[in-house]
Amino acid sequence: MKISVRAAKLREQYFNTLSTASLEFPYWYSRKYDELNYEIPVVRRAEALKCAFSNIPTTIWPDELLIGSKTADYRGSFPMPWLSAGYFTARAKEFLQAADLAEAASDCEQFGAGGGNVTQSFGKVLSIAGKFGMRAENIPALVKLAENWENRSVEDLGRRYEKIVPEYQEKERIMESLICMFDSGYTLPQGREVINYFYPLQYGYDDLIEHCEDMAASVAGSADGDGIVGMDRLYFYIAAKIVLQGIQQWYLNYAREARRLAGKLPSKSGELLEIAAIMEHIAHKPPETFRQALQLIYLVHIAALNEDAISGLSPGRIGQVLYPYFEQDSLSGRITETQVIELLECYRVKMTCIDCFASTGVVGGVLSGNTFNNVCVGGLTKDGQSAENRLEELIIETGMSCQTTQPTLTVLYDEKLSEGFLLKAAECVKTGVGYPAWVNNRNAMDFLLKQYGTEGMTLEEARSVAIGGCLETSPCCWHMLNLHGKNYTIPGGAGQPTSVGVHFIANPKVLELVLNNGYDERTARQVLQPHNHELADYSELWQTFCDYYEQIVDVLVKTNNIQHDIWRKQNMAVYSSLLKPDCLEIGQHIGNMGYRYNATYNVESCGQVNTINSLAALKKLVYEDKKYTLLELREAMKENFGYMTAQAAGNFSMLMQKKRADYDGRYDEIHFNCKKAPKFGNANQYTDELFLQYEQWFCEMCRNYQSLYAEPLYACQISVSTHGAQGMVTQATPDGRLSGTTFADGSVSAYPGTDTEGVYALMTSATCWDQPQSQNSQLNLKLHPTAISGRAGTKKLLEITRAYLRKGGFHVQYNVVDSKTLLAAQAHPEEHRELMVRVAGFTQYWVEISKPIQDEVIARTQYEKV
Amino acid sequence: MLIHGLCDNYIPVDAAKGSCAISGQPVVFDGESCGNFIAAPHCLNCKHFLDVKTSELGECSGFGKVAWVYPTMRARNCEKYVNCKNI
Repeated sequence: MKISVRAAKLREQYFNTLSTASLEFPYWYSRKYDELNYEIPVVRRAEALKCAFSNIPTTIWPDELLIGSKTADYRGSFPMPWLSAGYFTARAKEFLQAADLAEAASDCEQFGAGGGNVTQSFGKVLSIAGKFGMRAENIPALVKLAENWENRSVEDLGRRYEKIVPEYQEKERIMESLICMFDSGYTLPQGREVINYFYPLQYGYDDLIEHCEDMAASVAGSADGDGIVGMDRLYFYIAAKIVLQGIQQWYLNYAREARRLAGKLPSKSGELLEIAAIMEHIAHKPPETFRQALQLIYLVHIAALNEDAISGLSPGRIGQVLYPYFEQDSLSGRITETQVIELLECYRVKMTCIDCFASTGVVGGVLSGNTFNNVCVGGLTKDGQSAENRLEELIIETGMSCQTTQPTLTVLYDEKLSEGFLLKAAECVKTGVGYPAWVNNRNAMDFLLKQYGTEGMTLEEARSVAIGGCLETSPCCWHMLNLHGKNYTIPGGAGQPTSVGVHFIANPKVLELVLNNGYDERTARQVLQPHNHELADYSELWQTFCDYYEQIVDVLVKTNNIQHDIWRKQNMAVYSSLLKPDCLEIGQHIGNMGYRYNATYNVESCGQVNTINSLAALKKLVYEDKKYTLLELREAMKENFGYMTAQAAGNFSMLMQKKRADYDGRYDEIHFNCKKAPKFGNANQYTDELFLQYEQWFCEMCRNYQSLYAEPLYACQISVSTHGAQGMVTQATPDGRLSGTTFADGSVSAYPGTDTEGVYALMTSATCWDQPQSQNSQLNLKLHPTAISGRAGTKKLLEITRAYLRKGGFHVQYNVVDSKTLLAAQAHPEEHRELMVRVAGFTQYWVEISKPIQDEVIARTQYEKV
Repeated sequence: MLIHGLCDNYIPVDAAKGSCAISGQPVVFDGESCGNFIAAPHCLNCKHFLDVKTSELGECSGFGKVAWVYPTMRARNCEKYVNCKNI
């Protein structure tokens, strides 16, 4: 199927657009916030948001059917100094000097390399964090805004209180050594969750405002039995009303802009006036048509993203959410499938334009610039039947015709889904776009029942599950939507953000600390107190690893709880809160646990497979065969087995590594044996037992800690891009991996080149443990296109997938690509602007991902046959 | 020099470029504008904008209490914006 002319034009514009940061939103937000220093915090924040939404520019680009954006720019975003101002204030002088330099420069037509990434300043455009371009003349305002928030941002305020935690200095050393990737409270405090569009769809903004007014009047002055937050309901309803008024004004500004442009462009006036009419309608009333509904949910999404720094806000099962409009428009002849496809293609382009402005280490090191807007298809209805529908088929088809990174797609695989539906999804995978991912619906439901049972999760409600972010199983719920007198049951998010809490512990780095008695060679710091154990046998080694790990989690949970507590007191979500049940019903925002499900905080880990392979090597070579002493192995690793560092070699996988010029070969044998030691992914009992032991400990250990909401944490096992960044700071490991190279991706993907027994052996290893104990697991496979070519290949792909999920696998996704193509793209990125690859839970444009991750994807085992 | 990026007909795409609403052609932000230039509603074109000579920033008196503002801020949706350049 071919992309529509309109979507092709809009997508082409995306390919030629630079990520751009602007200041209108933070300016108006800050100005109003500062005016209202006497106001109740939630109302003060609501007024600031209203002011920002009412004033931000409302650009409409030629040929758009769906309109709206975060800022005036096509791929725009903006900093939120109220969350974190330190990055800008620390670099204020540098920024201002660069602005002067840019002023003197004349060539303004040189664009930075790497797709839309502004990696270097040019002309009058300054590169911020190697990613975003900003007009040089706006830099003084950026610095002024950042200085304005100094000492009162969530980061600064949080840091002040974090320091009271007795182990705070230890936390600082943990962060400095990159054992933990980042703090979540002021970087990405929300996201990795599923949004809920029900209330605006069902009621429209006028009715929601009226509801808030009525409820404010009814609760004013009454605690109703809750002496702690009962009185807060009044302020939440007032705040919700204020923000909704701001959102309405934002929509009406778009309508006005459409009418202004219609006056200038007679040839486009028909389309523009139609846009104006749609915006004027949905600013007040619930949508009545498919196009109105799609326009509304897109803008709801953007508004939530403008309210807070968010990555991984997933639209969820929108094929089921929008089905009522699709069905009624189709039956009445108001819309054709061709028109639906064109709109869905426009939606794909608009979602791909979403950028997230967070601190540099997060956007580059973790997210690879991705924003993780995941759309799920399939799954079950409330009464346990297949939930697939015709609109979902069109969503998959559009994913093929309009190949873009967003929204990524996930199939909620259930045995009840039809063969035809699943084969269509498999066909989409075969096009090489990296989506849809396949998630085991029953595993996801089991996890929800286990984690949220105490908050009231039932079997029926668990069936509404969807994936937040790349692979975060998220609690959802059902609502009854009435459209033109007919009732439909639609799903939507009902839980707080996930992947908040402890963000990515580098497991191999923890093992490195164990072997080095708590000392980090790279930062030359004693990160943890010396354990002073001899590590005389394997069980002592394992116990010390667990002890160090728990020590790290303990301090990170405490400090992150403080950050998020400051966030909920100072920077609470108002708009996102009113979207999710049961905030509007009970009058409490997210910070007061207004959401139905609050046990969403977790511990994320990275590099599990390298850790297991390393433990296997230590167990075998040091403790069982006694081939080497721990001292000998430690020395060999410190010397990187005689190799140059990955940075020096210029490659971050095990491919193309070079030995040092002065190296005399003394570690060759030990390195050979480390590489030869048993490896995970080969249905090998030796490593599988270690993996099982690890998973049983890890999943249970996480539950020993409580979030700020006094709920137990749980395990989240995905890598995103952290296996690149955290691999870069980790020494050579006992499994033979060299210093600075990436870890294995995902959580159950084999380390590249070590899975020699075929795909089914890998799947056997990956399912050696009870996966629903965790929020997820992640298996990424690289298949050569010829391995699944033709119709028989499609069936083969589905059969492999089915086999894995039936064995209890949580998730599998595929890169269907020839490694030679990737090597060519690395050598000539300018010829591969459109090439997409699956990294770990997300599809990204090749040219926009970092060199370490590119190297790792190239090095992954390529299955020629399955 | 009057530039595209400060023209009312400029539709921004990113920090460096956009397109002209009238011609439909791509234009560079800092490129010289044509004879149809109309000053866009940026703060520096508003009657409430006070140029503070000692700073690259200015002041806005449109909302009662004077507050700092930056000259190139896009102000089409500001309820107090009053054009003083294209009268």
